[in-house]
Amino acid sequence: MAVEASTRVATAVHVTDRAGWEGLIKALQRTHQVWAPIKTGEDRVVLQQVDDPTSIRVDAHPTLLPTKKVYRAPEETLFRFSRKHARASPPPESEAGVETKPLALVGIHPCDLRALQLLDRVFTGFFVDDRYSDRRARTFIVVGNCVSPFPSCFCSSFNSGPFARDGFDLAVTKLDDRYLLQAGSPAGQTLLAVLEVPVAGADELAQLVAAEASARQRLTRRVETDGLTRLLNMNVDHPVWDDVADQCLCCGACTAVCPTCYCFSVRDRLNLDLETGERRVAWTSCLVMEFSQVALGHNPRHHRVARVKQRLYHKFSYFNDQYGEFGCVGCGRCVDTCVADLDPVKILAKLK
Amino acid sequence: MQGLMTPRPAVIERIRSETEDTAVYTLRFVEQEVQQVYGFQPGQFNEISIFGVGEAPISISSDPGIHETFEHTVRVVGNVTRALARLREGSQVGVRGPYGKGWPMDQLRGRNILLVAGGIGLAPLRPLIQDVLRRPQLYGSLEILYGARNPAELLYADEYDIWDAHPQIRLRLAVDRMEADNLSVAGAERLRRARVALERYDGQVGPVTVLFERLLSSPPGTVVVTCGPEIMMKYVAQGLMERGFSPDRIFVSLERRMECGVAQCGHCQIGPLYVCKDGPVFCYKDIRYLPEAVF
Repeated sequence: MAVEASTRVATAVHVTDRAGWEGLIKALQRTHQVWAPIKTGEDRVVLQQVDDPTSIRVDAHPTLLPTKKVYRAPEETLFRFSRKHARASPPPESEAGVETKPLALVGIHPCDLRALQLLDRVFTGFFVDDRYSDRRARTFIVVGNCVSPFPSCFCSSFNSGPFARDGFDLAVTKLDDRYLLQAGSPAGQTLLAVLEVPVAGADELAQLVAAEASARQRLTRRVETDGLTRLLNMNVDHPVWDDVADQCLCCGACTAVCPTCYCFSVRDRLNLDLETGERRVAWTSCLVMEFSQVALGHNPRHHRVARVKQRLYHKFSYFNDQYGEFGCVGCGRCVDTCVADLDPVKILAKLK
Repeated sequence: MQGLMTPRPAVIERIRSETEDTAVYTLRFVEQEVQQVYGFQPGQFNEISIFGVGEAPISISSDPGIHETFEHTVRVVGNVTRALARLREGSQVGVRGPYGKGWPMDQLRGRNILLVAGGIGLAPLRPLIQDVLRRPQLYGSLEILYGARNPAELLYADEYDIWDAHPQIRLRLAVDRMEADNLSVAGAERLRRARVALERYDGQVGPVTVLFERLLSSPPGTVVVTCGPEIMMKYVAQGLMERGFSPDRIFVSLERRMECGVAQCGHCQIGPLYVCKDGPVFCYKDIRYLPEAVF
């Protein structure tokens, strides 16, 4: 299986050292705005714009907020308006989404990359959000394969890790002080060729294969996805939902840190002149009370248990019906973030 | 500017008051080239923007065969509709659309139609009625059963004679109660005229399902289209299934909170369905057994 994974990317494996890796980053920085996971505290890893290549981590814990924030910021302006003329005009330059330099994401994990591929189905599927689509097209992605999964991780259950298979320009796997690199696109190939990164030897190839197998073995937390949708649909009245509803605060933290949660609210903001303003979109959550409330007050998901079920059913059932794949990538952020210590792996296990 | 969620300006050409809290707005896109290519199917909706207040999804209620303008029948229920009600003829609003899956017009071809509506639910069905009036040769008979809370709430009362006069169309009415409270002067006049209409169209007192007792339509070769409060549609579906109508021949129109209209904001989902994209019109058989019960 490990062999299958690494030969899926049918290109040569290259290897370089720390200096070579930093050189690659510097080369990217000449043409791209580089965003990468950075350690900002003892146990805090944040995805942010990077100037110093040495601060980039490719093997760190999943970032606090997921990669989705780069493509759909927590708050964004759709357009500006003037009330007199009922006309929309473009948002301020800084939010226009047309960065002067294209983006490079360096070191995001396979789970986050997979999440982007799932978000693509939402934002460029039935209807195309041009701004999202443009930003995605203008990004160079260096995915950081996970050699050492973290305690909450369960990516292998959803085929989103520990190593990435596609969707990247380059994949980097850090083995001790060596950086093994594989291209996943012509742009990635070109960069490796231009920088003359040497091809790895047979030993290193074997180590790469072994590293993936080892990482996979360490992912002991699992969700059985075979028949999961059906299992959920047959257990709509299972007592576990009431248990979860008793504990869940519906705070929405899990949806904020979830790399595939995409629900947003649309709000007009009027300036003090009562004439000009903006229409803003912002992250929201199906867990909040008013999410489904309609004018005149009726709320089909008034009760907490209904919202808790929506959260879990959408992720593990409905999304599959809508887009052909499960909405979860097993990154474990929700588990780490939940103030009530809820864990979807444990919840789903109760349905057996 | 372009953009998936960017409205185009439209001018309110005419406002016609229908009930105490409902009016019909005739709109035309300001940009001629936009109006020229604009078209919709019965049952679809537009997103109407009042900048500074917000946006609301509202069914289109006009004749799809009329291309110079389009109409919305709007009841005041929240911020956007209240702001809209304060506008005058000549004001501009933002419009984008049409969105959604409308009534299954292809399945209605050559068939009889049983149309059951409650209150404002008649609005998204009016384009269907207009199409039958305009192209009757495409359809069989159209039986319209319409109910409202009281006579002053009956929509489009001025059109009933036109509808029922058509040889293929038969209209019957029902009201929950004959009296209405707190009517304006115009409302009292409306009540008076509506009571006359009730006389003419076999007015019954009770929910619209009371009209099932003397149903003209029968299941073979008939498609049911219904819209109104969910509780009403529930009893309509039940009552008609008891009379032999099959769930795959009953079509309902659902409503949920919408904030984008393009299946991305997530609000309108019921199970795996987006009401804005997979609906608002649904075949009853497709929603009966959803994990999140509708009705």
